[in-house]
Amino acid sequence: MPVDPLPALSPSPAQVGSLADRASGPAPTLWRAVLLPLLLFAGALAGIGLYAYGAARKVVTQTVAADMEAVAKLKAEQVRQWMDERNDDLRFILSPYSAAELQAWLAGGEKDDDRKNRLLERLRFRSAGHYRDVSLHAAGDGRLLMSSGGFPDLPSLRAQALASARQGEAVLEDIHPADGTGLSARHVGIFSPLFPPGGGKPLAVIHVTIDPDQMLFPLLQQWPGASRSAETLLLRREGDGMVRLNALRQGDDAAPSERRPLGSPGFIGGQLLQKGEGFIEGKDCRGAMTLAYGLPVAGTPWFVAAKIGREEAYLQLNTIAALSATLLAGLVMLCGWWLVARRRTEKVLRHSFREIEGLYTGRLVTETRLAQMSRLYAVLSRANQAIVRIPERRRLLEQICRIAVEDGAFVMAWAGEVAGERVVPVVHWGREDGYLETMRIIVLDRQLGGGPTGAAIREGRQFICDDIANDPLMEPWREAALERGYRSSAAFPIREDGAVVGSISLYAGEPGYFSPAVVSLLDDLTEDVAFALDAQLESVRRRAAEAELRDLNEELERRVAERTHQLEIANKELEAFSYSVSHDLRAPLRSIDGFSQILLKRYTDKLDAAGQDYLGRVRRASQRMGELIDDLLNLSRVSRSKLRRQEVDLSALARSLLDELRRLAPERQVSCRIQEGLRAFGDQGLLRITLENLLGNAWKFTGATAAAEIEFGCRQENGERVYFVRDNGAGFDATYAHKLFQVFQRLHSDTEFEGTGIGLATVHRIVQRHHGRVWAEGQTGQGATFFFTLPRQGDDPAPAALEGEGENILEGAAPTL
Amino acid sequence: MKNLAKTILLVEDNSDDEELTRIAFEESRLANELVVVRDGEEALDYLFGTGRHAGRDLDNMPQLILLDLKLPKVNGHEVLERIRADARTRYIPVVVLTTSSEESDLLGSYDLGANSFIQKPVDFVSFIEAVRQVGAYWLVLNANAPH
Repeated sequence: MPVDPLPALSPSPAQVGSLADRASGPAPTLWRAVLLPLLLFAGALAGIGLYAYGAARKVVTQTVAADMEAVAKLKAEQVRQWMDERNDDLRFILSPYSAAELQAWLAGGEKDDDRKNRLLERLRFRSAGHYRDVSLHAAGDGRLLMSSGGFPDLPSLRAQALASARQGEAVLEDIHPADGTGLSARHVGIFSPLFPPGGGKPLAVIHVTIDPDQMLFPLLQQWPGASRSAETLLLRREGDGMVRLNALRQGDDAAPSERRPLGSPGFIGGQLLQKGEGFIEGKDCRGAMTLAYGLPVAGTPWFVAAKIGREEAYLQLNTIAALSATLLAGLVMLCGWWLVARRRTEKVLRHSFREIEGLYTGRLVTETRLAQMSRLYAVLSRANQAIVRIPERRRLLEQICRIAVEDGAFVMAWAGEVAGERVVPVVHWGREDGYLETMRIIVLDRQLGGGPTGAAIREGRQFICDDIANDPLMEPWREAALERGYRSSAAFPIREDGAVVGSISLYAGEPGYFSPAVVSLLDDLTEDVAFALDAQLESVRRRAAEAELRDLNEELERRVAERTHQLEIANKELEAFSYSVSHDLRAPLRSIDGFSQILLKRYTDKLDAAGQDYLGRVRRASQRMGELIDDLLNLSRVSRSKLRRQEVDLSALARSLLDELRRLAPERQVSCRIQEGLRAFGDQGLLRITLENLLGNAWKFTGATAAAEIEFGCRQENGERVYFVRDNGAGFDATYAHKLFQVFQRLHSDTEFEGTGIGLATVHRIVQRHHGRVWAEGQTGQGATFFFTLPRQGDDPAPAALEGEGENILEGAAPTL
Repeated sequence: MKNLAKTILLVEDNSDDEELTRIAFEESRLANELVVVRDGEEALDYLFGTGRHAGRDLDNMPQLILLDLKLPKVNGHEVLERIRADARTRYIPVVVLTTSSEESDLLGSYDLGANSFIQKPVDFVSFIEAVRQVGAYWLVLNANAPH
């Protein structure tokens, strides 16, 4: 057999081999195989990251240090400039004119108060805006000459004024807390000597005080760029301690701060002061790590420092670092998960392949067997599709043969049908080359039916020839088979409805192809085919049965139509007949009656008493016959006419009928009782005829009864309304009660009570047409009661649809006219 | 009106009935001239002056037509239909006088414009009474439409 593996369905030998190898080796533990290398890798990555972070931090620190230095220097310069500006201010405040005035005032022995006041006013005016107070001190001894703020003449102020006069330049009075000097508010002061307009020794020393919160600190608090933790500090050394003079941008620390020892950790200002100009890193008073640069401000006792929180300085770097670390951790976890999942999948795969090996091929199965089985599975699968799709036997068999050759790689496949004692090939696929023409398989013949096909059909099971070249049973076909490349063959019987009807024969290109596993699969295939054929047979039978049913239905419909037609004709005939009766039978009666009457009236004198009596009898007979005809027509009409149901007031109907009877026989004394409010759902006309007959009868049969009574009423019986008409008249012999409602049946002679014997038959018909019942109870001489029911439409035992013209004439109770 | 005695046209094929009707008229003391025709065709000939009654003076129209339904050749309903279709006879009162008591006959007659429908009773005395009432109503009491 040519090996043509289907890659999609069978794993290549290499794949099977490698999986088997891996399955047999000792599996490394999860820790050693996956997690340890992963952790090492992650550690290395983290190390590199940390190193890079350190380096970046160094760079950032340098950058921040440079920034702080620039800011600190800028601020120091600004403070120094500010000082210069104040000096300029002082020169402005004491203009040459004022100097002259002062000189004059001093020369006048400081006695001219007017001048002093003018001078003071002038000083106040000129210093207004920036300065809080302005005072003048004597240049010689530093005593206070005049003050706009009413300063006391303090020794400390005198000393500073004196120092300024001696040095001939401005002296900064340091920032003091509000209560430090007994002055009213925190301030910074400047002493500056005032020289006379012509030059020489200073005339006096001017002292101005400034609110640092207004003029100095804002300068310091401005920070280039937005920052949360950046600060500028103005510091002053006090012995071995230091004081922060300005308030902080953030927070509400008191300014100036309390004195703190120099160089103590936790106070970065002190450390800066100790160090002198330069950059340091340390904790600030709030305990936060801070980067700061400080330097002294020339010409002042102050020290300026710029600082920024390390957290803020490193914020960007830390953010990037945190992000990178998170990504890295995620990546490592993902890798770990993937590796673990892969190992599991591999385990499952290994397990599956072991199962496949165990199930189908055993431990020593070769890849050829796998491919073979896989092809057969393809055959089985496609054959089953064909079974579902193809509803016809020959086409199905042909498709199966084709699939066997194309998908199963058989050399040839054919299917035969049993015809008498022979097997006739009907379809084939593959390399046939006229092989089947040489076949003469006779199923019952030992010799010619000895091959697999004959045996399979004869015995109803599969037969295999493992080696055509050497099997003696293949003798008659050996040569032809070997010529065409057949080396082994198998034949399977095909059953339909349990009986073997044919076979499928397959030829493989190699001997020994049909192993038990292969045969088992092919058995499945032929069983499926048998199932399909049974289903097809069933379907054919069902279609036949359906067709038969359809024919029967059509026949039935045709007969119903025919019958209906006949009924219509019969009905028409009956109508014509009753019309004829109505017209033609009555006409002669009229003549008989009419001329008898004329004879009696106009020719009385020519007739003796007997003649007149006979004519009277003729008349009575004709009139009675007229009534008979009328009643019969009535009965016929009752049967024929269509029911028109509606609400009918039976009580009112009974009342009017009894009134009419009374009117016709006013001499009679009859006690009538009518139950009020009796209603029924029925045909008004027909119900009127019913009551007319029943009440008429009651009236008639009480004719000889003294104290006659007639009652119409209703009672409930078993949830049913039962109407009744009762009288106390002649009654009837209960023995014949069953005959009461038959046509022409009379229980009384005409001499007793006249009647046609049709009235109750009519009543019976009407009640029957309303699907009700009618019956009577009575005894001779004891009166009679007639009962009837009229079911409502809702509880109609027979649907109203049955009511129709023509229906009634089929019923037994219809009169024979 | 040329004739003072108002003519009655009786359409009746049965000679017995004709005779009985005549007597009934006599008994009812109705003196009108009774013209009798034997079938539907003759009735139409009489009314429209054709066939056997060609040249009849059509100004002399009957005051009342008594019409049987079951007639040879042209039946009563057809006659009635023709009477009502023609302007000359449209308003003449037609009383259907028949032996039939069929509902279809009754409804058919009224549909075609009969003025009255009377079933001839078998009892002759009743018949005389019926004829008397018809004559009294249609010939005396009722105001007919003018021709």
